[in-house]
Amino acid sequence: MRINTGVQSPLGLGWMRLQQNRMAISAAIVALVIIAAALAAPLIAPQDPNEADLFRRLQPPVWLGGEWAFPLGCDGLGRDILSRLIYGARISIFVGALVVLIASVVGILAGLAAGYLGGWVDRVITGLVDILLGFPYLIFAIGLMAMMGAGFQNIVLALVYKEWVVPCRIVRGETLAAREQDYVEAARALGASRSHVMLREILPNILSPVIVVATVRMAHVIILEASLSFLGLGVQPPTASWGSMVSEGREFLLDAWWVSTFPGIAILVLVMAINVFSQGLRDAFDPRMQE
Amino acid sequence: MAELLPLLAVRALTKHFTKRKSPVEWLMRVPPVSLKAVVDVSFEVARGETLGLIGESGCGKSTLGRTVLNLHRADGGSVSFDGTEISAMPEAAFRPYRRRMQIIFQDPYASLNPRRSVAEIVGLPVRIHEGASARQAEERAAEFLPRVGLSTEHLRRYPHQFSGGQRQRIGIARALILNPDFVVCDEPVSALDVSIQAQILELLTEFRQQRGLTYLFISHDLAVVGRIADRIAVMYLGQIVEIGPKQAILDQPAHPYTRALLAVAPRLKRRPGSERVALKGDLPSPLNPPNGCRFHTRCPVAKPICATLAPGITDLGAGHHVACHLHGGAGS
Repeated sequence: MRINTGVQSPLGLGWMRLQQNRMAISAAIVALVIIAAALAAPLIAPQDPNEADLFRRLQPPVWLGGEWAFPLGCDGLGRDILSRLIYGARISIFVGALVVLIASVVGILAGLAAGYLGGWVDRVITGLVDILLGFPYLIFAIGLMAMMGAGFQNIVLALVYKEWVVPCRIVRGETLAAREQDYVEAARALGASRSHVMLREILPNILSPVIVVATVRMAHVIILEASLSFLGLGVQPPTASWGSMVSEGREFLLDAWWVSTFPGIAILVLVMAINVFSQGLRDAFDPRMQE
Repeated sequence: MAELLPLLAVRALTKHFTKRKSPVEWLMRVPPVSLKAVVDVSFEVARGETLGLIGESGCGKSTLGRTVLNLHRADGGSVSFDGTEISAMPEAAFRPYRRRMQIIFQDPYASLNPRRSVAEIVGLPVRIHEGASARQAEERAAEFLPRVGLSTEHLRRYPHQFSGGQRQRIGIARALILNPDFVVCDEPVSALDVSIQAQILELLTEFRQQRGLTYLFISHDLAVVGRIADRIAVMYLGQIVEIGPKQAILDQPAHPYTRALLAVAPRLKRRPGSERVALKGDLPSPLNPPNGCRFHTRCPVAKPICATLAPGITDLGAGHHVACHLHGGAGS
């Protein structure tokens, strides 16, 4: 595969392997469609997601006798479910991406410092990580939300507080292995600063597992946000979020299954697409992580 | 002719590695375990000279080379470079010396960062020490590559696209681009095919002649050291047991360990009168080195005193020194 490609860098080779993985590409397309829909929500949503109309309360989807203007039916307040799904995707994707991004940056820096500098820096960081790992994730997030109050910013914070532990542990472990490599010793022998060694020599070599894990974690964070919203601790009504939509439909589950089911399917599809894509990423960029 | 100041003078250098205790061991007051990798080693290297450092794997020769370069911090003794004591310098003060003291590594696969292009690897020293931009560094790298037998078309390639010998040339270019005075060659040819070994040794010899480089050349291969070194130091279990001019060491080895090394070195014609003495057993653990002379557990001619008293250094004349009771060394 390496012959006559013109592609030379390790990243380029990984990219080529990824393009040949049809499952991963299909999953990426699904995820991208959802992301595009979320971004273009005001353009493509057929109705105003927050406009209630009690005459349309629990109106069924179009194939069960509903109307085309409200293709997936309406919820308990008569709001269009499809439009709320499209707007809700914004919350899910934005929270997922933001939490994972912040957590990755914090976790990478903390993990590099712990693994490379060692000593008391390592003891403080690993101690903190161990303490945070002792708490069940959702309970921890619920506790924080209860303290800080609901709201978009607080969801992100509550999830980041624990999420950074994941990349931090991976980066610390990889850094411990990488710091013993001769190329690190060579950079030190040349007089490279510690930040150069950490950020320019070690980081590029340990980035692929971090990226792979970040995508898996994004799926996880989306579920956590949905769980918090389901419990009423997330984004506050009337703003649509997939988790709160599932929650709102609970009361009508037997009479109007569509209210809860469609946001549930949306969560499932997005999370699965991200997971399958991340598997492909792992195969392409980090072959040694395959079990 | 007046004796010049040696470029590198190592005095009683010691390096220990201490294992960190687990909490349980700490609670049970287990005494700390320390591995004495380099113990009380002294030697000098004159300007322009190549000192070969030879010994079995695990004897501490790489640790010695890296401690000299402050890649490991010395636990005792001193290293002075060009008249300045460097082993206790803080890293920031030592940084200017780093451009004058370089290292070439054994493993040409591990010593090049797989994510950096040749231009970045070879240009890095220029960026660090001359504050050059990425572009300037690349130009300098492009100028220098032909000197190590590579061409400018290799600049944009990555390490995995090269053979072992070519990679070693990249490592040499990185070490030599800033024209250092002193280079530790840590088994630079051990990982290469014999035919490639000769080319790399040739390249190192060329640089030494052109630029008056001083090498500390570490190897476990007598044939390699015999080709490039002016003087040879023989290391056993963290200590130098014999040091002297190359011919003296090769022709009149004084220490039983040196003799054993020479006897097992493959040679086309056996020297008359040289018996083959194969060493018994393995290198003892440096965690728990033998008392007295460290070599006595494997020495074919050990005497009772060897087990109790460490031998002092005996001067055999003409710069040839040995640490062995057979040569009348009194206890140190």
